[in-house]
Formats: sequence, structure tokens, C-alpha cells
Amino acid sequence: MAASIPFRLQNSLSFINETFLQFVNLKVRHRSFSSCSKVLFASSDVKAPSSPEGNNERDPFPMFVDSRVQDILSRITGFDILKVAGPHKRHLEKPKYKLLTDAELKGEMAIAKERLSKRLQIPPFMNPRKPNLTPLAVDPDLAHFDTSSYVFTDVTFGIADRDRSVVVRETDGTLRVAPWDVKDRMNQIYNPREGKEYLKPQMFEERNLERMISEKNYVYILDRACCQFEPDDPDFIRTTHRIYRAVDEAGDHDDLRSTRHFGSLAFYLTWHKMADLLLLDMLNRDLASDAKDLVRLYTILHPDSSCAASLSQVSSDSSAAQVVQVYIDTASTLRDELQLALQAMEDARKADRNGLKK
Amino acid sequence: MAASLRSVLQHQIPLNSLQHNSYTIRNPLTWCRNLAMTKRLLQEDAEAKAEDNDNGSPSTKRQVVDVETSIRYLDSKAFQQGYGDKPVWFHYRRNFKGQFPPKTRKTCIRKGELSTSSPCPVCRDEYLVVDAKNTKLLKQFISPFSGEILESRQTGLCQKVQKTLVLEVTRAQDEGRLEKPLPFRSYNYDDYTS
Repeated sequence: MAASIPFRLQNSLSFINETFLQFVNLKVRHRSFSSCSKVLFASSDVKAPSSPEGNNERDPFPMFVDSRVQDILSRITGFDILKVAGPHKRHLEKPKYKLLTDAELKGEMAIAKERLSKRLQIPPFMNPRKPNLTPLAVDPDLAHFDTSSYVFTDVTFGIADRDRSVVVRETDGTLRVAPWDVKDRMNQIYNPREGKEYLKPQMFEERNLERMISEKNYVYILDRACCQFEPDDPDFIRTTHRIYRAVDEAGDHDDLRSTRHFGSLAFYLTWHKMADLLLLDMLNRDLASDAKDLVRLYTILHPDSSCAASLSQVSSDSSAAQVVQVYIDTASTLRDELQLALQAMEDARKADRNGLKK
Repeated sequence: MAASLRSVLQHQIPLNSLQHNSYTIRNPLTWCRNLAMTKRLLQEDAEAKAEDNDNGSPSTKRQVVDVETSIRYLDSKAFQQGYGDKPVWFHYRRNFKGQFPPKTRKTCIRKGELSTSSPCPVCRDEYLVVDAKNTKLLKQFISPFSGEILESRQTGLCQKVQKTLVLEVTRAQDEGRLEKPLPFRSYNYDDYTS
């Protein structure tokens, strides 16, 4: 059957030959699919990711999955059980009642806490993915075989979305790996994920985003971005970074605390060396250990900075105030405010201690 | 084989034209994953069209109100006096026999004016405009616990308004004016290492 298909395969790479035949077989089974793909491909455009800050040469992801970084991020996120387990809108069901002994109840509570801690998993922090422009095969003989491009998707059962091969035969006869947005749409067609829309929702457009930011709907926007986009999608990165900057400027860091996005916020700000306002917020809220962790995170992410150099001379079990002081002296841009906040925190602690003694 | 494949492709309805015609106007937001596009979708709903034409005729009895006015009305003192803190459908009672409410009527407005003496909670007040921007009104028809749209049997809305309501709520969720219940997405970090 494969021989009767009007494509010539001699020029293409051998592994593509194999997979391509597989695709062709699949295509016969899914008759409607190629027609669908034709139009989908027409609207594809690969935009270069816009990067406001120049830190793109380094890949943040290996740092992000580092166990020290993950520990710090989960520690500073906090665990306010009312916020994590608070009311979520979902389909209503009748409650179930059970009679439990004390031991069983303890076990249930432990299971619930375990389940809730998974809700704080931080979305991967990645660089935007790069378009793959090298053609797999160029067959000029196939030029103008049709008026639109054909998309071939591997729909073998059990393939993960990221490993799925999607290729495009263009009208001029070249065979390419499909652009990322086409691949995303094909994944959504053949392996739909709940919560993801086929077309990008309009709320991620600038004017709607602007309105939602002014309404301070940060967590909802970030949650929906997680559902809609892959973590290395340029749209995801643009949206989330926009929100992080808005949160930082408005000083609403506390809104994200005890959600999965606080770790990303802290990582983003520290990665781009803009964590001063976050540190100030922590000092103002009397979160000394969080402030210490944030400075530690800064030294891990920027091992070449002067802050890391001078902090290596300070002993590891020194107090939070000392660690923050080193940061203020070496890396801070908001020196006076941070110094004042640190002083105020110290004074408050001293007053507390004296009050306890009396 | 090849010939048959080609013929299948060529006889497909061009999706572009389909999108730009009646189909998008009906509901562009839920357009997804419809692989079996048949000619049936291109056929116009004769009934719906006849009704639209009916409603298009000008009537002096019913005022056409724009969305901005309606939004202002919902914030006004007059609205507060009329409805209090309850949703607009709260005090509406349907007149039916038996224990279970039947399906609501198809429409309250025919030929541009009220055709019934007991119109549904939205049709009875011409200043209530169901629109994606009018979130304060839309929220009254959404369950605060589950985030789902309430059934017309509960709210008493006529079928036509209920249909617009569903459409406008979807649109509002798409534009981010209303929040939508979202599933939790968990990541496997190993997928992203390469």
C-alpha cells in the first residue's frame, strides 16, 4: 500500500523513511485528519521569544531542578493549609461520612497532607524553546503536489506528548519537523488535556491581561497559563514573567505565598537579580529564615557574584541578620530601605526577647 | 489507492470558508477537535433564522438597551431597590402543575415584543442585557460553589436566553472576565531535562 502513495522517499533520511511509512498507514485510518491539518498549518507562525532581560545564554532549568534550590523554594513557599486546601470550585458531590479510630484519623490526615503538598509542585522554569528549522528532506520533485501542507502525526498508543513525532510536508516538497505551535495543536487533537483550549484563550492577550492584573487575579492567570501552555512555550514565559514583574512592582508577594507559583516568582526575581523588593517584603513580615534562604538562593544562582564570595567567608550557621547584611553590602540596589527593614526586624526581636524576660 | 485518497481530500469542505460563514457566528469559542466536518454544519438552521427575522422587526413596545447602560443599571440604586441582594431569578415563580418543573418556554419575545404575561427573569426587565462584559449579571446565574451555570429549570430562564447565557459565559471565561474551574496540572521534571 505504501508504494501507491504519491510521495517519493529515496532522498529522505532512513529513520524518517520508517516513521513516514508508519504515518502514512495511520493517515489512511484517519481520513478526516489530513484535511483538518491542512488549515491548521496555514495559520502557524513561529515568533522569536521576546526577552526583556539579557540572561538567556544560561539555561536556568538545571539550576532549578537542583535539590538545594528545590529545598529552598519549597521552604520559602510556606504551607498555609487554609490557602492550599481552601475551597476549590468543582462539580458538587454528596459528602461521604466515615467512622474512624484515632489512629485511622491520623493516617487519613497524613495522606491528606501528602496530597496537598503535591499541589505546591513548582512549574518548571525554563528558557523559551527554539524553532527547529533544518529540513529533514528536500524533494523538489514533490513541489506543488497540493495547494496546502500536510501534517503527519505519530498517534501510537502510549507516547508522551513531548516525544511525539510530528512532521510537515510543505507545498514546495520539503519535509520538516513541525513548528512548535502545530505540534501543540496536534497533541491537543490526538491526546487532549483537560483545561487546555485548542485555540489560545483571549485572556492571554495584552489588553485582557492588563485588566486582570489591575484586578489582581494573579493566581488564576498563572494557574491557567500552566494548564494552557507547556513550560518552555514563549507565551507561557512571557505571561508568567509579566505577572511576576507586576506582582513585584505592586508588592503583592504575599498573594502568591502558599501557592505553587511563589517558588517560580522567587526564582525568577533572583535569577534576574531583582529580588530586593521580595527581600524587603520578607523582612517587613518578620520572615528571617526566608530572607536567609533567599540570599542563599542568590549565591547558588550567581556563584561568581561578589555576594557569593563574601558570604563564603561567613560561617554557614550564622544568623539570618548577618547573611542579609552581607547581601545588603554587596549586591543590593535598595540599600537604605533594606537596612532600615533589617534594623526594625532586629529591634522588634530584641523587644520581644526583653518582654519575655520580664 | 492514491487516487481515492486525493479524492477524499479534495471533496472535503474548505474549512476556511466554513469558519468565516455561519459557523463562527454561532459559537467560535467551543470550536475544537471537530474532525468530522460534514455538510450538515453548513446548512442553516431554518427555524433559528425564522425566529431571528421575527425579532428583527421594529417594535415600539420594547426598548433596545446597550450593554454599558445595563452595567450601570446593575450598579444603580434602582436595581438595588428592585431586586435587593438576591439574584434576579430568586423571586421568580413558574406556574406549573405537579412536583417537577417542565422545560422552560422557547422564547418570551416574539416579533420584538413580549408574547407572554409571565416572561422569564431576564426578558421581563429590558435593562438586563446578557453580555460577556456584564459579569455582574452573569455571576448571578453561576453556582458559587461549583462554578457551573445553573440550569434553566432552576432559574426559569427561557431557552433562548439560556443559550445566549451559556455562550456569553464561555466568552467571558475566554477573555478572563469570569474564572473557570481549572484542573490541577502536575509536572514530571524528568520530561524536561533533555
